[in-house]
Amino acid sequence: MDNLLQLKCPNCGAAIGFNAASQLFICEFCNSDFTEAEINLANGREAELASSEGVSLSKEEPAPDTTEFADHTNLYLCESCGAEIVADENTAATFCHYCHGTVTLKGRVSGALQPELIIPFKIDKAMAETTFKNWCKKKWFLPKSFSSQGQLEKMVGLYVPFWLADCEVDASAEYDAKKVHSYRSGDYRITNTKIYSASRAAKMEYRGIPADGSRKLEDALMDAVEPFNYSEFVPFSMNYFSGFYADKYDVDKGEAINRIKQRMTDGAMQVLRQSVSGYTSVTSKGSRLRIMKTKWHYSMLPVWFMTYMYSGKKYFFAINGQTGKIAGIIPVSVGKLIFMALCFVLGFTLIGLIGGAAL
Amino acid sequence: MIKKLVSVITAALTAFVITAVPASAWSAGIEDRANLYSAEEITHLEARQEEVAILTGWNIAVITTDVGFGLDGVNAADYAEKYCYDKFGDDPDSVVYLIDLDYRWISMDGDVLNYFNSSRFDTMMDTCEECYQDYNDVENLEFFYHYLEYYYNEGTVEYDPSIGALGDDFEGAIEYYDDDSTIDLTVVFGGFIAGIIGAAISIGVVLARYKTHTAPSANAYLNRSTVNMYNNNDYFVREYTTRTRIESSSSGGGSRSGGSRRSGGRSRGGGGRGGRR
Repeated sequence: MDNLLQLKCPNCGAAIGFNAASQLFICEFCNSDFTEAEINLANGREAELASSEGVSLSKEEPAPDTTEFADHTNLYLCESCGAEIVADENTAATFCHYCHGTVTLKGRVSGALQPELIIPFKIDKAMAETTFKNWCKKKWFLPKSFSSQGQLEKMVGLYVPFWLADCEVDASAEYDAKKVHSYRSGDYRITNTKIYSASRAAKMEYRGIPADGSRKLEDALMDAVEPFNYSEFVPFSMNYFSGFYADKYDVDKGEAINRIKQRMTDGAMQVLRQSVSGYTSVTSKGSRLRIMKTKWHYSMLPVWFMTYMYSGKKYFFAINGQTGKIAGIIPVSVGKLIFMALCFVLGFTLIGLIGGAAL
Repeated sequence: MIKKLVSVITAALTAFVITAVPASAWSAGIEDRANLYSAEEITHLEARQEEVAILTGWNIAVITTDVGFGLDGVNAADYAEKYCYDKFGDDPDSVVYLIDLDYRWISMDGDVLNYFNSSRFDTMMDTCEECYQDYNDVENLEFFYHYLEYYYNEGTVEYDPSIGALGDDFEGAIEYYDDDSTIDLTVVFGGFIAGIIGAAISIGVVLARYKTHTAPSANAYLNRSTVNMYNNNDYFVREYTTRTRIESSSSGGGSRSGGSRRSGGRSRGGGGRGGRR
């Protein structure tokens, strides 16, 4: 049975949220701050208290419905204000649109669906916006009006479900290699070519290769915000969801392994290829990668998502909520491209003019 | 009436003399510092040189040296230019033949350049060089005078910037005196094309960087200490050798450099051959 979890301030009872900058839970009403342990302790008591007083925290069971909407959404009641909250089947944490309190759907992140690890947000919303604006300033080919006239339509902090795989792999490859030696003898150029066959095989271990477990998110965009600093992993706690959205995975390990295997194959072949040295040219004849052993870690990683409106078109960006790395496709100013092309053509022509006159 | 007739005839004769024998034409003789010629040979050759100078109206000088200017011709060219200026000052229509043990250089200036294109110049220079290499020093100069005379009688050559009269085929400019020098359009066009290629590459790089996501390699997650290369074998399969004839582009030990032609005003041109005999 799914339950709602809404963290409350131990002092005043108002909804509180996690502050990425201070790494503490902050109450905006009474200006108190709390560690995760303090929150656990206090909210555990509150939960017990609530239970003893018979206050229902249970979700309202979704009524059977034949429509697609009903098949993929669930209806919950906010425990603070009683408002109805609609969430899709993969939402693990969301907000009440009336009291703005964070609502964690515990059933989506508990039991078999409970993540093992989480990296808490280190970049807060203001910092993410500043990071994005500074990033835009460095993009010379970005239309000037993009930063000034564009509208930050939506910015949300989302804990993205990630599968991290520790894999032991056995990779092998075969190569054709050539050594070419050329020298002059009288009026002739003598070219001696020696052909070799090279074979390489190695066992190696990858640690924590990530693949996002959300079908809604573009894989390439999620790959591009990597890497995360795994040394800052902490054991999962739903408390970190406060103030942010969260999803549960809808891409299982079986699907994720295909992406991970492809990435490992590319990486392992690079390692093998680098060991074939001392040749003029090397051509791959074939390669193979076997995964010997895999250990999975279901984790939640912090990402800021931005939707930016410019010239009637939406641009999507993702910012690594831990490192601040930005990924996204941005528009290019045609005018600036033409200007650059003209500079090249005129510059080289001028050099030709000077060179031509000097000859 | 008679006085008037005399003055007209005098003026006509003066005009004829000015036209037929240019007043500035002057043979500066042969300065044989390398002692290549005997006194009799010098007398004979200077007479011939003066004959050509009177015919063409050009200042002509010959100097032999054993300085050893080096094989690139640059110093020989400079020396010839300076010698020409010392001998003839600002008078533009002049030709100097420098015969050094390392390098032979013919420096031309002014009207002389109107009678020589690269083909004519090469013919003269090659013939003279052949004589020099065969130790026929007298013939060397006789051919020099011969070709000056011959091409003068043949008339001027049309200036063609694409082929070049004297100069455009020659490698290495010596010097320019005027501002309206011609420009090698091939180089300018090459620069234009290079600019277009550079612009296209740059646009491609910008679009690639702005329009794509870049993900780190999986090897960012590889534990390098665990890599165990248990098969690392290279086998020799076979060997073959090919032999290709090298096309020779050299003309036999000599090198050349040259000058350039102007479209108006004053410039200097010339060229030479290197190599010690």
